[in-house]
Amino acid sequence: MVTTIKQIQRGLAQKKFSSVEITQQFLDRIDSHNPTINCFITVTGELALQQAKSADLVIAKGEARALTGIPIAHKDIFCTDGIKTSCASRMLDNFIAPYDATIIEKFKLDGAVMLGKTNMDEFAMGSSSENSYYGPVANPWDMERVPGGSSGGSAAAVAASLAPAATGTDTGGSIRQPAALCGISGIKPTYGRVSRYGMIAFGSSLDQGGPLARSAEDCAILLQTMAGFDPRDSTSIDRAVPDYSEQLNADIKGLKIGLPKELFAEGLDADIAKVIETAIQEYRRLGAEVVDIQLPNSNLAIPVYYVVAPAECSSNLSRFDGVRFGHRCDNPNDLEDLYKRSRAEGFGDEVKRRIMIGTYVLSAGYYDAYYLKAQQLRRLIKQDYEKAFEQVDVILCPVTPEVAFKQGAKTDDPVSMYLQDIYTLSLNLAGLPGMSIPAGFSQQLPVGMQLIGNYFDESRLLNVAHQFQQVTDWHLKTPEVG
Amino acid sequence: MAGWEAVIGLEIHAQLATSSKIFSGASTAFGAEPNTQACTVDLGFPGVLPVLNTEVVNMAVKFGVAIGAEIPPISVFARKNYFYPDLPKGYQISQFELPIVIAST
Amino acid sequence: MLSLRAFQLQRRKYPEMTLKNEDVRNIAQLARLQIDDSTIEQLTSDLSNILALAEQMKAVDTTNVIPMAHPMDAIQRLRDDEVTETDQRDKFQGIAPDVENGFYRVPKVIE
Repeated sequence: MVTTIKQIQRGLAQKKFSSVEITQQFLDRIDSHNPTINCFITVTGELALQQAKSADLVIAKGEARALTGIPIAHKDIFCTDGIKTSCASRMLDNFIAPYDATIIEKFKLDGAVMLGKTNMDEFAMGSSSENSYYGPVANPWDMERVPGGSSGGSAAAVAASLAPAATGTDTGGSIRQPAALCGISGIKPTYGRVSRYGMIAFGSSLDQGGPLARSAEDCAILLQTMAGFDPRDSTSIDRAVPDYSEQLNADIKGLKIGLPKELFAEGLDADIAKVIETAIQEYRRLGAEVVDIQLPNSNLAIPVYYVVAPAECSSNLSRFDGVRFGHRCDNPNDLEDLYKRSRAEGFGDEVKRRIMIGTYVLSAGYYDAYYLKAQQLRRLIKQDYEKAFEQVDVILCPVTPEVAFKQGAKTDDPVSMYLQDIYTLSLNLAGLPGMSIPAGFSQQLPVGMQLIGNYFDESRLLNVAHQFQQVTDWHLKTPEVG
Repeated sequence: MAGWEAVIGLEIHAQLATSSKIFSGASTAFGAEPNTQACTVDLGFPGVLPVLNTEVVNMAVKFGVAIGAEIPPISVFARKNYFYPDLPKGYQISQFELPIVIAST
Repeated sequence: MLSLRAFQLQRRKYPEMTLKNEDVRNIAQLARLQIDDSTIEQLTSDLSNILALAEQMKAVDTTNVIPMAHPMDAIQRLRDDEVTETDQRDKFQGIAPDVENGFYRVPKVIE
């Protein structure tokens, strides 16, 4: 079955199939498998076929762009005009977005086809995609295990070939961690590279949208469309977008890869350590030079993140008050009751926990000790990376401390869930780009490895990932889906 | 009443004569029907983002200079969080520690 | 050293930052979240555990470190003073819980 963007591009160009045909194929697979995997909240079948039909006309005229006619799934955190946008929350169960997110507009302009909106952890808060109003997502490699989160629906959809690629968002690891647990490739761009307009905000200084796909090559194609300055997003950076695909084949002889000693210390799962060590050997064979580096403040990432992210989310979620859109409780007694019950009914437990932590650390008397302190420590974390990048071109490290865990294994202890992100959080704090690609298996479950780049060095990350994927075939492995 | 000193403060709101709003491109024209000049940003829909109006900054600086106040080189916006039906985002984008005009005597 | 095991060991070392039920009720009020009395114990315990993570920040000296609000310390972009939006009231209010004559309706607020 044709499953990658590259393959679909070729097939469409060579008239082996039409966009309508390939779209129908994916829709059929979604029909068969979504009931068990539960990776789609909304399937936009009719719209997809309409878009595919238009795309076929454009292709016939010879005016196809990179993504014309290509079916893509979108994380249900991106506003899609006229289509339900729920963030996997009861709060937005009835919300039909009245506008398109910038990246959705960009995909439309390119003639891409939208398969539907994928399931996720509610409001992007979680690492397992179990915190969803619409039920948990299953990992196609083992249906009793989690796909990771919060972009678990997108990751599972790609892994199970229900979509050739999907969009996700990453605030603390939510693209990279599910990509790792599902054996696919995903990239979180530099903060400010992809517009956040229309991407429902969780942590405004941390959030970034990015692609999940079967390969670095496919990620490059998607990122090409997603990246770029947006005047509607004041935090987006006005900087030219390079041709990501063009740079994929650059030779990496002499490339300096940094290994942060703190992240490879005793305590890393032995299997994961082995997989990464083997991958490092592969890079040596390709001519790269491996350098030991230090990230002395890396252990601060967790405390800092769990102050900054909840603080920002508590403020960002204040707009969900039952007044203008979203869930409103029945028969409110007064205004206070309207707010309290609408919000209590609309939000799940994890979201409420984070709102409350955030409210606490921002409240009078605590702001300096918590939020301000965290913002100072953020600068130290960033400075560590800046020093490291004076010595190396990219940094290599694990993505997750363990492989996909069983559903329900960590839901009783919120902190144990938070610790899933120990290797991914610091990138969001520093604003750096990071990528997760498949590097092997442990207990027959995928293991990912993380590549970290300097600001706006996505080309290099994609190139370094692509070179690995030219000499290995981990990214070609797919699960047997019933 | 001996021993008491009356201290009266005046909080003055001045509407700026800009064409569009401070954080969105919606019109500020007087007399329109309710909510016909409230765009996605003004209504605080999920995912929207504010973008600051140049003219607002120009006017604030002009005012500061006119009253002989100090205009600091850096000014910071901060969110003032509270809940009220006329506050769509549940916070006001305001200034606190480093306002654009620092009081003169 | 960054590893799951190291963190699990650290959790046992740091005395837990304990919130009381009353603190949690105050926070819930500020956040306009109604919480059931039956869940307050668990909630207080969960929140205390999460805040215990934050306590680790105290150990690091940050004198003279400038807080970082944006990863690239970017400054605010400015927009030209132009009207770019049109009237879409019907579309926007079509998804509202309760509207009347173009207004959004909420329970009366008596000050």
